[in-house]
Order: sequence, then structure tokens, then C-alpha cells
Amino acid sequence: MKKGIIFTTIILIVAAILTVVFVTLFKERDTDAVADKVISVVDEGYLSEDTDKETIEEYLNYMRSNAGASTDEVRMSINFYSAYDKLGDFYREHIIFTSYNSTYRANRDDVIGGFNTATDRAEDMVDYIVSNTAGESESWEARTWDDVRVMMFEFIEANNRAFIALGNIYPACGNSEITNNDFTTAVLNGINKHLSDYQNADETIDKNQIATNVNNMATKYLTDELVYGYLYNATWQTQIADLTTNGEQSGYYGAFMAGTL
Amino acid sequence: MKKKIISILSLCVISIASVIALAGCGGGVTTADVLESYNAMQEILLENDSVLNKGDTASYRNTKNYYQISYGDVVDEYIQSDDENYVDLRDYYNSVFSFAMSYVDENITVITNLKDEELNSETKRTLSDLKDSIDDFSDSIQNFVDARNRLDIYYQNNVNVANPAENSEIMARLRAFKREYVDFVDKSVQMSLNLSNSVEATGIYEDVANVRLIKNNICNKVIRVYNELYILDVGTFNFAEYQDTNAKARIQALLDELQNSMADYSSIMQLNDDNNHNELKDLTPEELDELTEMTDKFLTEMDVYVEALDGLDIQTLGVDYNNDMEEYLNRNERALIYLERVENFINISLPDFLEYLDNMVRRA
Repeated sequence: MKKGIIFTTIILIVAAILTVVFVTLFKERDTDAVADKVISVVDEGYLSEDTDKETIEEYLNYMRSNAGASTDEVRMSINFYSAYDKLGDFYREHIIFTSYNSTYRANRDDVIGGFNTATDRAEDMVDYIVSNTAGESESWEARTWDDVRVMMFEFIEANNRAFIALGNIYPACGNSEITNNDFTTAVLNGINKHLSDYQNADETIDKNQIATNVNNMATKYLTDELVYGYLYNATWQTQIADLTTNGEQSGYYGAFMAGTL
Repeated sequence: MKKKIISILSLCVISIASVIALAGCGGGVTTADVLESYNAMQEILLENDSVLNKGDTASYRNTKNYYQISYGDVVDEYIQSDDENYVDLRDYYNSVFSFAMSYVDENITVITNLKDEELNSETKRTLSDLKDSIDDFSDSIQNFVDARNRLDIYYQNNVNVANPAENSEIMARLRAFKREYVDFVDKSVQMSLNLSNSVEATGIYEDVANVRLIKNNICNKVIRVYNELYILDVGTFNFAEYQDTNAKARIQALLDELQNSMADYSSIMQLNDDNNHNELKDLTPEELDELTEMTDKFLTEMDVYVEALDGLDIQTLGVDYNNDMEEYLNRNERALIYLERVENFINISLPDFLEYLDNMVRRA
């Protein structure tokens, strides 16, 4: 009887130790899941130079002059798509050099879930656009926008969710201070603020302005020269220090957030 | 039975404790042990001074390299005539080797002059690695000298071969020698990096604002940039012989850029503070802090560069995929991202840092 209790106790202890060992061995400790998702969207998905992207952009460009009262919505969509392109390129290059931590864990699902939903909506849009092409002229009826806009808005919401999460992950997990510094943090925080403001904006004209600002910031600031050169650039360091200290009260704030500093 | 189990358990605990204790104190290596290894290395170098000699190397591009390799009359002539198959023996292999060795010679006394009771625990921990790497390097000297002698004898016997650069046997011999040289240079770099770590661990930079020591330490760590790509990655296989592709052109452009930056690096490395050439600034404590902070950031970026180089794996791209990046991407889908990161490091981060370092330490 006594031997049986000892034996069972030993088995339980061994089982507990093995459980801890296996959980430790196999628990996620790298940022590969997010990096793989970003790379697949940028290299093979709706942000790559493939026919799906071409179809959506062609459609949007056509609608820019043919959507009547919805022109601002189309412009906003064009600006967001362009911004996602730039942001995607930036994260594709840098996200694989990041480390796992609690911020990564808290945002991981939003990145993957956001990109998955956006991929589905992009495919829906492409299917719809292709099946509604008028004859061989590649022109579309203005009314098609009513259907596409629903998918496009979901596409934007999903992308914003993914890019806000990436904007949280990168400053907390980037391994190098040459490429993850006060400058990149200010830029990504600024873009995140715009993307968050989008959720609360009611007017299309405001949303369009937000999309323009995000696109301008990504285009102007997320260049190799600025990102890699920031630590050696006294002018930018002064401006970013002022922005970091004074926030919205900084004299640089307006221009910085508009992507025109 | 019970006693037996207790004895076995006690033995296990004692063994584990001993292993932990030994690991914690660097296996009991003292500064005298390090000095003994260093002196033994010097003796081996001296025994082979017909191949590895210290002295004036004005005939080479780097004017203040203490160590010069004599490759034998025939090969030396090719090297000095700028033959493209041989210049890397002078411009990369010998330069990196010389800089690593110069650092060791100039800074070993920082460690060996210390008494063991003066060492902090961090320095003690580094001594074992330092001693091992000195011994490792000493062991590799004879292999290198043998390889050089084989090459020399072969060349002496084939001195009249027309168009040696087109002779596959001669080129194969040269490549075999380069592979031996890669191992030799890498061991010298590892030894100098381990010495850097030991010197840094002493806390000397916090106590003595010696700009030469600090500059040497930074330069010594930067040498890894040149060693990793040119010598370890490309130097271990016949890169030039593989297919001409866009990927190969991009890697070749990186090697060319590295060669340019080597000149800047050498110029900073050779700045000195002796009475006749007081070329180094006196830095304020604030400037020293800034320099240390910037260097730490750069070295972190250098780690990312090394990670990217490992991820790119130039040898597999060349040997297994004949430089066909499209094919290679099926196996290594991140290869292009790694290549871009390496490019940004060599084209932007490295020259920016070298310019910064030069401005910080060079007297106007």
C-alpha cells in the first residue's frame, strides 16, 4: 500500500516535471508567426505586385472619376492602399529582427487576424470586380461602388487593425536602436494615432484626410536613409526630441503628423 | 539501500555544484595562465617568422600592419603586381589578420599586468574564453604555415606555367590555401574579440579616459564586419566562378563597398597618440559617454547584420543554387530581406558610424 503511494507520487512528480519541460520547450518564443504573415502579404498577397492588386487599383483609379458623390471615399481608399504598401515594405524589412515579449504576445493575434480578414476582403473585391467588368472595355458601372465600398471599408478596418498592432509591436520588440529609435517610434505612434482616429471619424472628408496623412507619413519618413541615418542627423534629433517632450504642443507637431516636416 | 540512494544523490549534487562553480569562476584561469598562453603563441610565431613576420609592411596598402605574411616569392610577386586572384590575400586576409594581431599585442598587457585579486568577477569569467582562443590560434599556426609551404613548393615547381590564372590546378591549389587561411584569420579575430571583452570587463574605460584604448577597442570589434562577409562567407568557396546573376552582382557590389570602407577603417585604426603623432583628441567625459552609447547601438546593429548574413547564407546560394535567387527563394523565402538588410548595413550604417567615429577621435 505504502509502496503504491510512493510509486504514484513519483509518477506524478515526473509527469509534472515533464509537462513543465515540454511547455517550456514548445512555447512560442520568437516573432516568426507575425513576420511570416507580413512577408506573405507583402510578397505574395494583396500588397505584392500581382494581378489582384492591379485589379483593385485599376478599379479604384477608374472610380476616382466615375463615382460621383462617392469620390472622397474612393480617394480615401486609394490613399490607404498606398499607405499599406509603404508600411508593408517597412515591416517586411524589419519585423524579422525583433524579439518576443509581452507586447508581441498581446498584439500578435490582431496582426494575423487583421491580415487574414483583409486578404479575404481583397479576394472578394477582386471576384466582384472581375465578374462585373462591362464587356471588354474594363469599365465599371458607377453603381458597383455601392457593393465594393462595403468590402473596401471592411478591408480598411482589417488592415488598420493589423497595422496598429504592428505599430505597437515594433517599438517594443525591434532589436537594433539604429532602426528602432525615437524617430521610428514617433512615426509609428503618429501613424497609429491617425489609424485610431479613423475609427472615431464620422465624416468621409475627415477619413480621407486621415488616409492622406498616413500615406504622407509613411512615404516621407519610412525611408532607409531617414531610418538608418537618424542617429547621425542632429536636425531630426532636435525635432523629434521636441515632439517627444511637447507632444501636440510642439511647433513641429502639425507638419510632422501631416507628413510634411 | 536507503543509504545507497542518499550517497548517489549526494554525489550528483556535489558534481553539479562543482560544474556550476567551475563555470562561474571561468575554470580557475588566472592572468598568469593567459600570459603563459600568449608567450607560447609568440614563441610559435617566432619559430615561423620566415612566414609570419612582424615589421614594416610599407609595400602593402596598409602602412602600419605589424604582421606580414610571406607567401613565397612567386605568390608574393602576384600579390604585389595586383593580380586579381591574389590581391585579397593582401587586402582582406592579411589586413584583417594584422589588425586583429596588432590589437592583441597592444592590449594584452591590460589584462596580464593585473593581479588576480584585482580582477572583478566579470573579467574572471572572460579569461577562460580568452586563454582558449589564444591556445586555439596557436594550434592553427602550424596548419597555416604547412598550407603556405605546400603552396610555395607547388608554385616553385610550376613557375613557368603560362597564364596561371587560367590553369585549373593552380587555381584549385590557391583556393585550398585560402580555405586554410580563412580558418587562421577567423581564429585570430576570435582571439582579439575575446581580449576586447576581457579588457572591457575590467571597467578600465570607466576609470581611465584613454582615447587610444577606447578607439582600439571599438575598431577591434568593428573588424568583425570585414571578417564575417568577405573572409568567412565568401572566402570559403569559389564565389567568382558561380553564375553571373543579379544576386551575384549585388553581393559583388557589397564586397567592393567593403573594400572602400576598409580604407576608412584602416585610417582610424592607425591613428595613434605617441609623441610624434598625437593624432587623437582628448575627449571630455560627456563625449566619452556619447561615444560609448553610439558604439553600443552600432554594435547591436552589427549583430543584426551578422544575423542577416547567416540567414542569407551566400555559400548555399552560390554552391547549391548557382546564384539563382528566384530558385533559392523557394528554399529560403527570407533571403532577399536578409540581403537588403546586409546592403543597408554596409551602404548606410557602417560608413555613417566610421565617419562619426573618425570625427569623434581624430584631432582636427
